[in-house]
Amino acid sequence: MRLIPILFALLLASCAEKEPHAPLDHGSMPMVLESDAPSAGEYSIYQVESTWTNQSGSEWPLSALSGRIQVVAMTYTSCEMSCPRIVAAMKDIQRKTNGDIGFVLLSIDPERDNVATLAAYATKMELDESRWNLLTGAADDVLEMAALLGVRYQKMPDGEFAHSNMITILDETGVIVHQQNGIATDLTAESVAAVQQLLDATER
Amino acid sequence: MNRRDISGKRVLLWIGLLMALPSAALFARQTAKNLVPDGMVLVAAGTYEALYDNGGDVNGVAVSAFFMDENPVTNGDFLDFVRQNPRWQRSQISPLFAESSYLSKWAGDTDLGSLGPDQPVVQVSWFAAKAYAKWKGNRLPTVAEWEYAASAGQRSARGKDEEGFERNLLFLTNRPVPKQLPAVGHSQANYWGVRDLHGLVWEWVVDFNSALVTGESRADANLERKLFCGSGVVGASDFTDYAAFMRFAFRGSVSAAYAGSNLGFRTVRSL
Repeated sequence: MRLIPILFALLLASCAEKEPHAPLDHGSMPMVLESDAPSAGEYSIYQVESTWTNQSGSEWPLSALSGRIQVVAMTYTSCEMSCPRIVAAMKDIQRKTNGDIGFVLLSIDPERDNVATLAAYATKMELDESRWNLLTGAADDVLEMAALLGVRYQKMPDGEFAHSNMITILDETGVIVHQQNGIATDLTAESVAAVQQLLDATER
Repeated sequence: MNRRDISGKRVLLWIGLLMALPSAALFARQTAKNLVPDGMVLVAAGTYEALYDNGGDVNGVAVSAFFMDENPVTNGDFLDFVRQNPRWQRSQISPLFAESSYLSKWAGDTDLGSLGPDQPVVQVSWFAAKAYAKWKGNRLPTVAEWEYAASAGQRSARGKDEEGFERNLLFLTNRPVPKQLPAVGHSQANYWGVRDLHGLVWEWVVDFNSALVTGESRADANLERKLFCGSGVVGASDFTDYAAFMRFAFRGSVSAAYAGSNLGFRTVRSL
């Protein structure tokens, strides 16, 4: 707990500051596929067959996220109300944990969220791109992810989306280990604890 | 140029047009017929009148033309799918993608047992239905597409205007499920040529899960209402369509891994 104020101060200085465990290379993501990724268990959401495109235009199956703890939410970039708060909560988790964790924003608005808008959003929100993946995919694959993550959303006539504010923590194999439904501070604290527990378990 | 010349040309033009039109229409129909995939019918573009007020000015969703399976997917169809895609066989499937009742009335992974190949397949999860549709080069219909196709009567795209339409739907919807499901394709085709949309089995739609946040279900509605980006307005636009209410209530009560004994599906394809 003593570490938290120090980390907080560090990250206030620069949100995009590189974490000590960050990988050296942005393009390393697809390599995970060729390496010895942990095999997906029967509860791994990495069993889906869908492919996704991230903010730098790389396309890979969801299983490319394996090998790293991932903090996942479903949002869209033109959302002005709750999505920035979801991202803020995820950055809070990033700040308060100390390890090699990935962050994933899956777009529920694949019509408007393309590589360019995702890249612009990553810049605007000051997301460390060595750790954050902003993904867009086919509409029915987005629905499949929503079904797997228990996220509900619906497009409104004004073009906005009604959606759950769910933040999911996946272990290295893609198994859901924790979910917070809402962005209240105490819920985020529980997510931080869940990530820390996973990190501790990995170290042991 | 005199008047007679002009009318003479007009007559020739008209004769030309009259000769060309029927053959053009015939040609167009032939071409369209050739383009309709096997076992599917064309549902022309129109408007789905949403059961629930979606907060817009106009309570209608434009639906583009699409091809729809004439009949629900059968046990025989699904057997082909699991034979070619073993990961969707009942002993192989991940518990994430289907609950334990998945295809449980089949005698084995690739054995229908006493079930008929022409009966609609049931006990399939949304994930499995979606995978089947993809394998066929198709997709699952949206709520709007399904409801739009199902709102057709026998003689027109708008069944509501036909005498006894809703009474008949309610009768079909409330009928108890027979122990042995009838084979597909024996009910009367609707205006589009689609059969068994009412009264045989419930059917999956691709966005069954997205209908939930805006008051069609009580599920986490209170929590969501405070937090979501858009504004959802609750309120039904047509209280007489009980059959549709039942479908919405049903969609709101299942999860994507559900594999109920009266829940099947059919596929659609964009033009």
